[in-house]
Amino acid sequence: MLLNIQHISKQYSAESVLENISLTLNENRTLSILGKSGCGKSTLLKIISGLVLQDRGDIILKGKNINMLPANLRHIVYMSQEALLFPHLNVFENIAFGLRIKNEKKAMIETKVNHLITRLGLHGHHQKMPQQLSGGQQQRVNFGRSLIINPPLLLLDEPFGNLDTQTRAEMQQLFKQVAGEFNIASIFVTHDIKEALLMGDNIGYMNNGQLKIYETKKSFISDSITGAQQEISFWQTL
Amino acid sequence: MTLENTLLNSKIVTRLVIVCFLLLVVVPFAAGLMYAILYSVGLIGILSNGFTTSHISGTVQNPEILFSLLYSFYVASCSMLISLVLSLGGVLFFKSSITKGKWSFFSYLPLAAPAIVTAFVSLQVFNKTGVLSRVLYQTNAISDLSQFPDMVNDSLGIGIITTHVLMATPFFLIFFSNIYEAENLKSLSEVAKSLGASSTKVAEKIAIPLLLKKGLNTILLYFIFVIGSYEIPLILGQQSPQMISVLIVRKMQRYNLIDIPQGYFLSIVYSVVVILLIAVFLKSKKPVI
Amino acid sequence: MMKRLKRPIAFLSLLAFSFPFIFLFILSIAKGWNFPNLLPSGYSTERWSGLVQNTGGLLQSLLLSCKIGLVVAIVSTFTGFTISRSISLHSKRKYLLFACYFPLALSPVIYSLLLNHFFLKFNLSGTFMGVVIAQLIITIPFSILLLSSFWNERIRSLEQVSSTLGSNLQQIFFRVLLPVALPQLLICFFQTFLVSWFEYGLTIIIGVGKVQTLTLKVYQYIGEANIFYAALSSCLIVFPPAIFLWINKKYVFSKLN
Repeated sequence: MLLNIQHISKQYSAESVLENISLTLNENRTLSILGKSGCGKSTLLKIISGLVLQDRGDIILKGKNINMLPANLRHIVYMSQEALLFPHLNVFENIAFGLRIKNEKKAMIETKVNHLITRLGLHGHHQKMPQQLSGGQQQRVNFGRSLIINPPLLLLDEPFGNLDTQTRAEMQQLFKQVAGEFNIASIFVTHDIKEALLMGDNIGYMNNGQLKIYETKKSFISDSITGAQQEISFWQTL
Repeated sequence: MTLENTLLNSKIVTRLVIVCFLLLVVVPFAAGLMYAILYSVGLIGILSNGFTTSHISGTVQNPEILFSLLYSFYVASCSMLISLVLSLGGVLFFKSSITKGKWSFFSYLPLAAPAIVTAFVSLQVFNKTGVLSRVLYQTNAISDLSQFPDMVNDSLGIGIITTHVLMATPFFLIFFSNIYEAENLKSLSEVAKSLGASSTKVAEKIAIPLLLKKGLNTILLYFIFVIGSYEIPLILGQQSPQMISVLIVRKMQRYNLIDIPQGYFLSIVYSVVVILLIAVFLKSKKPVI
Repeated sequence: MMKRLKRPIAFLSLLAFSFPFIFLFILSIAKGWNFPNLLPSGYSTERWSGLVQNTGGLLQSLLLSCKIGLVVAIVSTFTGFTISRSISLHSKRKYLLFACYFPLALSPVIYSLLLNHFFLKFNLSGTFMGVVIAQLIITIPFSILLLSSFWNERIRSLEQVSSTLGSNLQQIFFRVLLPVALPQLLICFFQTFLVSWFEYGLTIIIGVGKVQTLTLKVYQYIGEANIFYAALSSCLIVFPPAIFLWINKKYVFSKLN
């Protein structure tokens, strides 16, 4: 078991954002979490990555309690909806960032970054600045920047939410392939039912700060609260 | 380093920095005002003899003080009115071409001259033997220096007002030009015209109200700046009435010790006026810049 | 008709805006300028070449003004950057930023009079450090306001992303925040330099006439009715900002100048 979240709770002022959240995640697996805006999904990811401190509960990574570990030492990368590329660095340097701060050898950085640039379909864009890239290209660079440091766990907070349908579909395919190649475990948060079913090996539903993990995708679809049944009915009646 | 330590450290650092902010920004302001209050009521200072309101009453009863305050408001109001009319007119005429293109450098050039230099130039242009009188003399519009009107060190403050207008107009031209661009006034004007508005109506109902609304904070700050201006009235003003800064400096730097507490009281009055103007009228939703 | 007038009005405006600079330069090289002559009676570069020999103490004033300006600009930019970040994280940030307007709005000469006693008490009156500190009291709130807009949600998110990619606080500051903030820091640097460079009233109160900056020289020559040296000093004051303008207009223009 890679990740074990136990009874995480978080309150902001008098409002409970997360209530007693527990989940487990094995290596090389993707957990999709479906939930509407404001249900606490982003807060959960930020707590796991160490950007926000929980009020109660434990985060166990590879058998170690990492509650007190700062974000930069957890090796858990957080990817948001906006690519948030460093505006002063080009594509190459954005991807290389994580290796540069570790003072890795120049030759090694070049090899790894170039390989990743080709793998992510960004060949020829090495020197471009972020503002010269499309939304989809920016997310690919964001991907590369996250993957290059080989994090055991990747947290994706609606990463394709800003993209058009076709680009979104391409990015979904790309993620599934690359995640498999890099043996990355991930938690993929989305408000889109189709995307949740497509991306995850396991699936959960978050509502009002509470999380329910489903044994199988079938049980997720059968549960009326997820809205999956309504979606299926809609397409069937067309 | 644990997460708790990092967070604590950042909380401690933030608090320390805020304390530095208070020490550098708030404390001097408060200390200056407090010292002025104590001096003006006779509790501290060379002539202090215990609490007294004689300095305050002496100041309040002195007509020179009231005239100075009114004079400062008069100069600021005239300067701002003329500058705003000229700059708004300029922006509506030239639109945003003021700040774009190869000639825009000249629009910004007046900003490179500080008040003291602009005052000096004004002095050389508008005084009795200045550029303007020489032009009028050479063109036979005047035959004698006495025919040239007093434009500096005059009772109406023409020189001071003119110089402030010369400084403020280019500033507001650029300022309003930037707002014109940012608020996409060109497109808004086109929409209005397509709804039947004439150019005059567009200016009256859309452009001018929008520019003034967006620029209100800066207009207020500039107004306050003109009230408190020092270099321009120092060089171009006359002995009486004097603008408030010049009067306060005169009172506090004189050898007549009785003037000093009066000067301090005047500083408090001026500061309170500034604080009230900002507190009441400045919309602090976003920093002005 | 208005469209036809556009070019002539634009030309006249350009002329009006450049006139003071041309006038000052001509006066600075004039041998004499007697009434009713429009132009000077002759020209000489003697005053400009005398600058190198520090005639009238102008070179010394120029260097002193530069020194004060640089110290004030560097310290207030760095301090403003640091403080504005902490203010952006504070729950009372609106009030803290609002407080910055008060020292800014007060006339510098009156503010320096209010604080003069404390400068005298701490033996800072008439000293280089005294003038620098007095100017910082005005330029620091100015730079806080200038740089406060940098600390938005996007920058906060960039910091967070950098953190999860393994950067410590130092790396985030030097590799991410500083380079991204550089354009705004440069604007702040030049604008606080100009606030110091242009300052007269505060300098003469706290400096007691001993700290002879260029602006003090202009006033001194005006008082002596020495218009040629006043013009020369004025040229020295206006040329650096004009150069800043040429490089980047934003270095000189701010809505709070």
